[in-house]
Amino acid sequence: MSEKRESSVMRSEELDAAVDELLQLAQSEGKALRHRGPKGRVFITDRPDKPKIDELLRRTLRTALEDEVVPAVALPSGGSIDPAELHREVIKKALVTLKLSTLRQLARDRTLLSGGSLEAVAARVAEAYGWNEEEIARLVLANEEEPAVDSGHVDRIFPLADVLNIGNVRDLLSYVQGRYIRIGIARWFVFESIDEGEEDVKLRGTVRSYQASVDDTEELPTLSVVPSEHEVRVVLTQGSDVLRIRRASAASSRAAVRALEVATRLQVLGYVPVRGAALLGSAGFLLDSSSIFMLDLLNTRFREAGLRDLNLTICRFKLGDETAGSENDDERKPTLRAVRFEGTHLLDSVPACELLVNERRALVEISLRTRTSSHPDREPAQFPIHVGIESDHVVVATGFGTGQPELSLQIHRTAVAAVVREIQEGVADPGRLDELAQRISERAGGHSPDEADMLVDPQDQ
Amino acid sequence: MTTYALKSWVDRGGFPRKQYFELIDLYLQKLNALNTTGDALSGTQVATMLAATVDGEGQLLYYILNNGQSIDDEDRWFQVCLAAGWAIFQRYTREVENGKWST
Repeated sequence: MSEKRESSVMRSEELDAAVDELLQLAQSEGKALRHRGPKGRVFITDRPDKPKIDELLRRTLRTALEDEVVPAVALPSGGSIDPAELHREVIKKALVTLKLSTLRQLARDRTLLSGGSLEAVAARVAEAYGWNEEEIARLVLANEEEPAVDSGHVDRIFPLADVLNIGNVRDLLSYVQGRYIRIGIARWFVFESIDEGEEDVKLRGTVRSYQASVDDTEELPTLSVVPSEHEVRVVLTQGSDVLRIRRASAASSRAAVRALEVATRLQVLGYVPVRGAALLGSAGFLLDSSSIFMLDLLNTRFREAGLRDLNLTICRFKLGDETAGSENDDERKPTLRAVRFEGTHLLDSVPACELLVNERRALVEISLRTRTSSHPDREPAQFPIHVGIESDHVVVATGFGTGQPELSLQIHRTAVAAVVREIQEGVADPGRLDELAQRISERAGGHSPDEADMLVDPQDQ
Repeated sequence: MTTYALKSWVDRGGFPRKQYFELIDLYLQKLNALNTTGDALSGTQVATMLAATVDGEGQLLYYILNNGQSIDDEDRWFQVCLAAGWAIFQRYTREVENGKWST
């Protein structure tokens, strides 16, 4: 038996060995039972036509153990997912397009156990059909109810539940380097390379996923498979309570986070904390917590970090639960879930101020422009910065700008550092934010000025 | 042949209940050593190991053939052994819950 490990990840070959060992034990104990049980029992110990079920037992036990242990599979030289595993996952992917109740019925029709998760039932049905692609395609067709980064720099910052112990993370990542683990149906994360610094570890990985659907345009239905692959770079820093993912979509980043949670046992917080809100006066009761985060960033953190001439060009407010409502799709009741303002110096506009303080709506996305120059003699260039608060992380994107693109990365790093400090330290200047909230409140009941003055800093003038 | 149908095999007099239950204790110990999630085992692992034990023992094969059933192919025989594994594990679980067997 393999030694128990801290991580729930186990190298694939070690898991195979553990499965073989368990089954050998079970079979030899079965033989030993002939001599240990009550007398008078009759056994058939050698019958040439008795089917050999070792492989079925091995496959079933291994699949069942994958509920507790995630196998990390060595990448072959071509760098692909094991074709046999891919074949099985694609078949499961096609089956899970059916409703769970339908899959359970299909299992019962084949006198199989029908309990368990969608994936477990799909695996059982697929096994019963011998993982035959053509038969599964026909089965899906017969049972389905309905036919069925940009340019620039992007970082996604995920708050963690605890500070990182980089030594521990490094050891656990070395264990899975050059391997992949499955993180969902027909979805894998490949731990490709680890760049180790003294204070941080940079992980390069790939999310590989496959969409499966039934193609019935030919005479015989077949499974149509569309693969996709997305590179993800993760930066983990010693003693930090955030992790940073570079140039990846939200879905790929979350897939990488899931893989890291499994492989290194780190835990993401699952939400974006707004620390220090208790120290606020008027801002605390006038503003939603996401708005506090964004306005403190704009009003203090970005300025402290040296970003100047801030011009807010896009604001997006959340008006309700954006994930809810699908059950009401059939209803004719109109629902507004978010509102987006575009323009210039939006914080000076009366409607934006009204949403912020009168309706206390959550400001969840901002885009702004900042101006800077690499040399006092050069005309300043403008750089767009986007900040968005997602359910579990904050995204920061910086464009290459209207000139001097060499400055873009520097500005991006500055903006990312400011966001990280906002997450870690909370409100930078409660008094200053209270004053801003007060000005916003006054603007909400008044008129837009001829010249923007809400975010004007004495140093800008 | 379903788990229910194989209950009569497990419930017959002469079934080595104590020996099988001791084996389940051993299998659970081995499986828990692999389980680092802290979640309860799903049961399929134990039932599959018991299926291997039943297959190795040879008594179920005698019972099936003696009752006029056939073992046509490996899929069918595997399903019979797995159903027997579940029947034994269900009885074990029931007796643990009733305090008739302590782990």
